[in-house]
Amino acid sequence: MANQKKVLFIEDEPGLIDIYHLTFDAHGYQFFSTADIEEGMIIAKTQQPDIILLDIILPEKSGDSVNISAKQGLVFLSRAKSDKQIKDIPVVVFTNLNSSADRQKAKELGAVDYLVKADNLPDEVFKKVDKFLNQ
Amino acid sequence: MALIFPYALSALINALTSLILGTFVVVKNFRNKVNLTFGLFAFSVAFWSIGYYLWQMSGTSEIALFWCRVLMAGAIFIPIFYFHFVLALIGLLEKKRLVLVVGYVIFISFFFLNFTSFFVNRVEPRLYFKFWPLPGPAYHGFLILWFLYVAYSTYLLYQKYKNSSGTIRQQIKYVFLGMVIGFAGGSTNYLLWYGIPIPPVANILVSVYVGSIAYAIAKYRLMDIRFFARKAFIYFGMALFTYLMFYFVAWLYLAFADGIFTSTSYLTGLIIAPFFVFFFYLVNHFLKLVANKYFFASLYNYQETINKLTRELNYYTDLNKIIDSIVETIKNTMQLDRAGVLLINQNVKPVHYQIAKVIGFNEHNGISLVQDNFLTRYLESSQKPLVREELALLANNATRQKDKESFEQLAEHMKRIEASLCLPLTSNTKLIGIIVLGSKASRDAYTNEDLELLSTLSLQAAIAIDNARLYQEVQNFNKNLQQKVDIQTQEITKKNQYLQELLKMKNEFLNIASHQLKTPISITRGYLSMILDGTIKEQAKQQDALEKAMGGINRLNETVKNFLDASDLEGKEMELEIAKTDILKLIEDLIAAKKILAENKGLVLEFIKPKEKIPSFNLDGSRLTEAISNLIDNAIFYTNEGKVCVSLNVSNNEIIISIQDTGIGISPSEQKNLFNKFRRGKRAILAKPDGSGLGLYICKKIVELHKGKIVLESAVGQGTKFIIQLPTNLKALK
Repeated sequence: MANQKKVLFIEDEPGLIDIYHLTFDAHGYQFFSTADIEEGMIIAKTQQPDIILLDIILPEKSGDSVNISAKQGLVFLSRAKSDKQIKDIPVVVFTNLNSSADRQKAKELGAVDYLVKADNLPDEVFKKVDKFLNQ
Repeated sequence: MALIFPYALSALINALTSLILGTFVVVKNFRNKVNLTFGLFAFSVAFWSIGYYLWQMSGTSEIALFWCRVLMAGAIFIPIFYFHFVLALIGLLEKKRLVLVVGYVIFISFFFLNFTSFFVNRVEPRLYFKFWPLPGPAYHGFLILWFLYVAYSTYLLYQKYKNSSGTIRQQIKYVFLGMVIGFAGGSTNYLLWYGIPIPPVANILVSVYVGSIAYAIAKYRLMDIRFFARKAFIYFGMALFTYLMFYFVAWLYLAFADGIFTSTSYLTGLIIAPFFVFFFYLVNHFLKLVANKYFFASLYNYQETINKLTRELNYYTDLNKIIDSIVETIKNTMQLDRAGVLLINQNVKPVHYQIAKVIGFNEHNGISLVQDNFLTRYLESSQKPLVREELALLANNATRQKDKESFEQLAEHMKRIEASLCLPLTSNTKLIGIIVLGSKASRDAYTNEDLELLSTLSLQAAIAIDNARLYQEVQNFNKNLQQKVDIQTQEITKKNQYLQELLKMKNEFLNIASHQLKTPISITRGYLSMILDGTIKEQAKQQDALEKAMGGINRLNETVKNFLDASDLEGKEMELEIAKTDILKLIEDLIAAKKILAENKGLVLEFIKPKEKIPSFNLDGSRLTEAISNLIDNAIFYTNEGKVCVSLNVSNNEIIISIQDTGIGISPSEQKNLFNKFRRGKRAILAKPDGSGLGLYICKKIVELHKGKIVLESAVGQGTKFIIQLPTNLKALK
């Protein structure tokens, strides 16, 4: 399976990870996931995925306490786009935030698409990703 | 006769001038030794001159000899009175008393010799004088002593002139010059007595001393008779005018109308009379101007000073400028060494004066005087200038011992700060301040005219100061108003900023909230769609997916509930519904409801009730149920084995509810932000990944609205204890 496509799913919600793992597996994708943006950077560099699905609200750890409303996804996006090794990997923002400010921000930072989780069923998400990769 | 006429006339002029000046000086102040001795001197000169005149006019040698002796009677006393005057003028009366007494004895002795032939022997024709007197044997000694006393007196004057300064020096200078010229002129009379053929041509120069001293009086205020002299000048000036006019008109009638009682004369008189009156006023005005100019050149023009100050005061509205103007005007026109204005601080009791402006005063010893209540009361009631010299008199006249002491003390204070005069500044009979003045540069006392002028000025000044103060108050009021407006504008701007921040926070909250709501929806939709579209086909996997979808729905339900609470608590203070609440029953009901949840996890849920019976308290039962329920849920959730223990106690006006578990515990760094919204413990996320991060935030808000406290004791692996402390005396809130 030399042609097997790789997707990196950066997400903290176990249920969603489960759903999209099942979905991308079913279509023969290699699926990587993490809730931690540091880990995300490492996976992106080592695995060179074809596409990254990125959640925005990711918990930010400070010591032992966690801010579960932090927008760590945007931090990941800006770092990924300024890293030579991974800046060309397309990033699709996959979030439940739906404000114009958030969309604007994601676009500025270099996201190729912006999908709202609740509005897109797993199959629709997969089709959009697959279509994008086959252009 | 024609040749001797000028000598008779010079004598007459000498007599008149001396008589007039001497009279003025004595009348002005006969108690003053300087005035008195000068008067004696002038009268002796006048007496001599009258005798001189009558001697010149004598027709027989007997009569001439008699008048010669009379004139000598005057001349004998000239040197001793001169000496006496000089001593009084330069302040050497005490020191030279012996020489003075000896002089009096000598000259009085000569006076007695005067009417014998030892003194004036006889009269003989000399030059063109028919009856010139010749000396007797005693005359030679008299002449030597006469010159000795005159020379010595003049020498003393010269010494004083050299050693003094300022006005005094100028006064002495003119006295000295007048005397030297006068005596030199008078001395020319003695030459013919000893056969030296020179007539007394310079006799008229005797009058020079009168002019010179009059000048010193007018210009340098010698013997302080200028007001009197001014009046006299005008009076005699008008007399002279009338006299001249009389002869002028008489001459006109005689020259052109052949007499006074002709019809032409009557008609002419009708024209002349109004002219005369017109010129009378004109000359009167002119003389007054001249008098003011020469007698008061360095002093002041009463009317003009007031007018000038009034104009200035009307012009200014600034208090400082008004006070500057008052102080400058008074100091300069009166020629004072120091002047100042002190104003009463209206806001402080007891009376407290503040220096508005002082010139010349030493401020270090100036303040104490003017914190004087007695002075304030005195000036307020008298409304008249207070002269330091008069304080001794006032003290003597005081009926009460206390007043007497006060006057004496006041005099001492004024002396210490070198003030001579205090003028009240009153507005509506209320003292608003005082003008404090020092002495005149000339060291003269204040005259009545001075005090009148100063009273008028201080009245004007008080009005102007009062107006300026009111004006200042209005201005300050405006300024304060502007300041207040500025402050309020600032406050409004701040509030606006705060509201905008609040709005931003609210938007942010809504944004996060919708995200938190959509997450469980995404999960539920995701699983269900995978079953529907056949991604999940196996029965067992479908069952699992359905359960997860159900979990999503449950979480959605819980999250919605929490958000509604949190948004309630977020903005404006949430209103509690306080009512008498049986807290014991409230907790018992909760325990009963949570029993199954605990048992499902294999935990014991225990409630330790208080030992005593407890009453109902003012609380919001429904909110409190929510908070305690949250805490019990957390305790059950994060405890895997052991028990959850709830206890209730009431002591010291406090309701204490504690919820203790034997769970995973919370580390100190997790505790720090635990009560903030969207904050959760790291291990709590592992234990329950989908918590809303709002539970403890809501608990804390509810407890705080009850004016209570929530604290937590915990350590990793040691379980957690939340303690709620509520006041028992809570009133029904607004």
